[in-house]
Amino acid sequence: MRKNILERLGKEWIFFDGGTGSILQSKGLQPGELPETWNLTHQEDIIDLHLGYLNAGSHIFNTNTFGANRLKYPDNLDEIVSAAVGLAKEARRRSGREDDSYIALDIGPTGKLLKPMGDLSFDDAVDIFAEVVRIGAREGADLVLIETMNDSYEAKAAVLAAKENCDLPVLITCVFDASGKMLTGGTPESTVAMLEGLGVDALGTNCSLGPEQMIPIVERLVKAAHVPVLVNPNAGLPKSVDGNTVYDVDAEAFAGFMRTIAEIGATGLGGCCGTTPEYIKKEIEAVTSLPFRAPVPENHTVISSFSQVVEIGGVAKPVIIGERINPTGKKRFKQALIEHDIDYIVDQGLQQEDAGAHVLDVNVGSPEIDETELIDEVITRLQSVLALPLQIDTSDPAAMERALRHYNGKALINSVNGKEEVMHQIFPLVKKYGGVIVGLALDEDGIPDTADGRIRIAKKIYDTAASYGIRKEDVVIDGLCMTISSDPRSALVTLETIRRIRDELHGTSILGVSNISFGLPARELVNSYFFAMALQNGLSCAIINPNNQAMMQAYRSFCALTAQDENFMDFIGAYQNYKTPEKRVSEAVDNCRARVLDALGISAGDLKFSGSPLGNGSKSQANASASAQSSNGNSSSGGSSEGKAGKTRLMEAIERGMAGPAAEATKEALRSRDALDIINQDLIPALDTVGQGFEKGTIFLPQLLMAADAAKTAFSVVKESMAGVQQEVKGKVILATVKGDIHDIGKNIVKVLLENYGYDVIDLGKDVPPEAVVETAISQDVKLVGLSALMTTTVVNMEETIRQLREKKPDCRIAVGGAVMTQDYADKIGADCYGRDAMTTVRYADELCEKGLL
Amino acid sequence: MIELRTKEIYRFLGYRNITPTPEIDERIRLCVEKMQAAAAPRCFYRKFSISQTAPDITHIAGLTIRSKNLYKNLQGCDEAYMFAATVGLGIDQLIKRSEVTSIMDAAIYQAAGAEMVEAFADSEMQKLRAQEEERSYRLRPRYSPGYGDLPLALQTDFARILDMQKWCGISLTDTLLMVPSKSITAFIGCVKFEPDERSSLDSPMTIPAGSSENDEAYLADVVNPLEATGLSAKESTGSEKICRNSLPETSCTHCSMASDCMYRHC
Repeated sequence: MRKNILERLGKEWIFFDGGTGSILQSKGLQPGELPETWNLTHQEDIIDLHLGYLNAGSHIFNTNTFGANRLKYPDNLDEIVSAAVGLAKEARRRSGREDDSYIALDIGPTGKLLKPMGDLSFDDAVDIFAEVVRIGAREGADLVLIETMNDSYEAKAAVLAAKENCDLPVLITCVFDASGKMLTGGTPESTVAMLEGLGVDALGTNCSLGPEQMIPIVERLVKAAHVPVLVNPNAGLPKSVDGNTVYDVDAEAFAGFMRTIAEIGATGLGGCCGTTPEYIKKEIEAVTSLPFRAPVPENHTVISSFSQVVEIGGVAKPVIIGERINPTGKKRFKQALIEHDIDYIVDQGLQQEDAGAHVLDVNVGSPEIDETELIDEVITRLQSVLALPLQIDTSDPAAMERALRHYNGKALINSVNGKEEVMHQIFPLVKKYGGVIVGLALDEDGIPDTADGRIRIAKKIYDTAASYGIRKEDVVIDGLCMTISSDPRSALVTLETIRRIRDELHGTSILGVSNISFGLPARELVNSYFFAMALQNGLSCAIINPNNQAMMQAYRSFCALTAQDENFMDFIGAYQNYKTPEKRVSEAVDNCRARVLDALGISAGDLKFSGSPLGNGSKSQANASASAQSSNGNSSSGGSSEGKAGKTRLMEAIERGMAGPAAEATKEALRSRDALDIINQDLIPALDTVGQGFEKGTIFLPQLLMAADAAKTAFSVVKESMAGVQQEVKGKVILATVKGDIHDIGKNIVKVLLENYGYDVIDLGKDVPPEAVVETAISQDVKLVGLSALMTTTVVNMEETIRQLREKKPDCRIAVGGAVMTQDYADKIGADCYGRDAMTTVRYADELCEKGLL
Repeated sequence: MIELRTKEIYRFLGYRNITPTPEIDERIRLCVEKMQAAAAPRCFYRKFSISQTAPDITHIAGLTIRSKNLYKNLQGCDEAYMFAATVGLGIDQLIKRSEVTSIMDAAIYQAAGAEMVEAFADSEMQKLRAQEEERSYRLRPRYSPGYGDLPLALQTDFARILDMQKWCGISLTDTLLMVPSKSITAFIGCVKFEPDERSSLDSPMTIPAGSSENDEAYLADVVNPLEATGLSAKESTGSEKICRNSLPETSCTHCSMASDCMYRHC
């Protein structure tokens, strides 16, 4: 009787089979011919292939289904996969190894890249894999082997599909290049974190490299993994000889390297491209001469994004979790949620990353919005532009499940607490999707006011998690931070709780630090001192605002003081130009004085100093900085609020494309002027000067865009000041990159410019179906649509979008642009405007606006 | 590291003989620095023998391709490479990120990314050129699907024949766009020359080191496929300009397209 493979994996050497392609080619498979068709046309050859490996001694051998999915076999997938499993069974019968060999349903990549970089949606990828899994399981495969995955997101889709559609063991191997990276950036550590979270039974690496180049990757996999590690290398690196691909490691040498790999701790071994039964036979001889030894897994708490891991607790530095993606108490953020301004939210994330956050908390809960849809969208956008792991923060289990499903990594999950009902709702999600779960030390009876009480709840959370198969390492306890203004002892209780989580429970902890000062003035003082105290008491993760100087100063100083900042790199990097508060104030005063004097036309040298206590910066310095600014190739002085050419500082900053000064000037202008006035008198005229230069050919695209960036920054300052106030817009414009097109930089350039000119842009993004454009145009009564398409294939979809718009929204004007578009062709397909460059669409919109057509 | 030519970056940015400001040069420098760290260049190629039959038909790797531009590009060659190169997804990630923070940076990444993959393909071709030189072959300039009248539909054949996803990490969208976006596929013709005629025939001047013949002569005059073909977008994508039937003389009778096939031999 055959033992379940799970009783053997990781407990004895288990051998896989080797290459398929090169063997089939030697049997006559043509380059570019789909190998799976041979399951129907060359059945004896396929049986022969399996027999070769079974006779060599492989335990696990793969069905010939690597590329079998509905994208490649839309008509006969079931037939192809069923035949493959049947042939594997027949081979096993003939080999007489019924009792100790296992048929792996082989699943390779779909051949498409997932969104957002590619055009296949995650859910469709799951569907595609699910179909294959169901057929293979029905036909009697013993396990699922997902292999040659070069994108972690696709790997996740495949594992979920396998787990959701069969009860078979699920094994997976991914492809890393010589630098240890997957195609989309994943590392051995990030991949292990995510895949183990999803509950795979074994994992490893295959293809791409020879066994020797794989050694460093295997070391990293073994160190990170808790499940058995599988290694199936190529027979060395490929070389092209006379038009054929050959590999440079022979069977003998291959076996030698595989022995080394087994010694490192891999317990499942086979081969990939270029290896043959001979390789596997020699490998088995070499490895089985070693005594079996499984590595002892190390315990650590790890979360991951698609390409980065963050370790929590243990020897790792305390983790900073940025709290800014959260509407609580933030008008501007709430407005962004309601207006569906995802860019604003993403920008909050990028700012926190720059400020030093290691993880970003994502909370978009607000009564006015559909949280499930929005958290899904925000998570998807965030992980397409930044690589920090995310903390999914929601109390809505449906929103949490959607976010976890589409998250590309192993998330930090916020949160459960000691309430039975909550734990039984949330732990199954943690078990299914993986993640590190935050457990709040409160329960049905509320928040205990002693550390004893909180520790007791922490234990209950660990125990309940364990009953779901969730390891203690994957639980982080929130010791709870209550404001000292309502209970003066609350900080002491929190600190004791944190310390005991570390010392008694040997666990990890987290706090929302800034709650501690609620109700007090000068909160950053209390917060930053409490933060340092909490760190000293063993806090593992802090949810804070990383843009707050005092908090980050406390953090970096703590790390420097506790030997957690090697060579003080972080500290020096952040503070090598540190200035004391006194110095900063005095410089600001000097600058201000210089500007006033300059505006009055007085040379600073003419003045006598009266010994102001703050103005101790040198006169010459103030003078120098003023003259340096005015000598920057511009006739008017940079320091004055109104330059000599009648231009304000804001106008100059925009024309010269200086974002920082533009923001400063806007803030200053807002003190004395109306927001609308600033937009109409300064912002737009300045931008227009640049726009005209671009149209005349006196400046080129980067200068235009630099000005646009500066104007955008100025706008966001204005917007911040007007948060909550209804704003006037010139008109609504829909922008979309058409269906099938995934490059949207052209559209995004037009978007920035249109927004700068005061238009309300409804950005439908890229790969937008014609129906979606039409529907939005009708539902929001939009009179101008801009479409972009890069290639002939997507111009076809542009034509279709125009056709549908003309039919269903005849009063709508259409502007088109894109690499292959021409004026002729734009006319031919019935567009109203051909956007030859960045400014054309803006001018066209202005023209319609003037005629009252928008 | 891939050496980038600043002039080319300017060109991709829509250079108009305006001296870029020092600020812009500095931004370009910073962007290029990040790109060098993010790039993961990969390249793969296979060589096939080719033949040409008038009018405008080229046979290669089991494909029969109707294209004036390719015919001219490969005229006189008895072999050609099918070639694919990419600088990797890291560049796309930089573009994506900067679209939120700075549209100017996005435009620079876009332009410098285009130059980067060109420069990488050039450097790989340079190696091939040296190999071919030794057996008295020289290389024609690269010619890519989607330029002039060479059908974009050939991308699927490149993907299949070169197994591009496996060897380069390049995949195609349903609309035949390559991901990573900074990728190149191309035919590269090999033409034999007599050792003593290095500088005769095709070009009257001595060929400078590293260059092949007069490259311009083998490239399309009109690169925009809509203009070059005068066809609709759908027609100019060009599936019907390729026959994938590798043995037409024996299998046309079995081909469902045979009745109105322009390639039909029997």
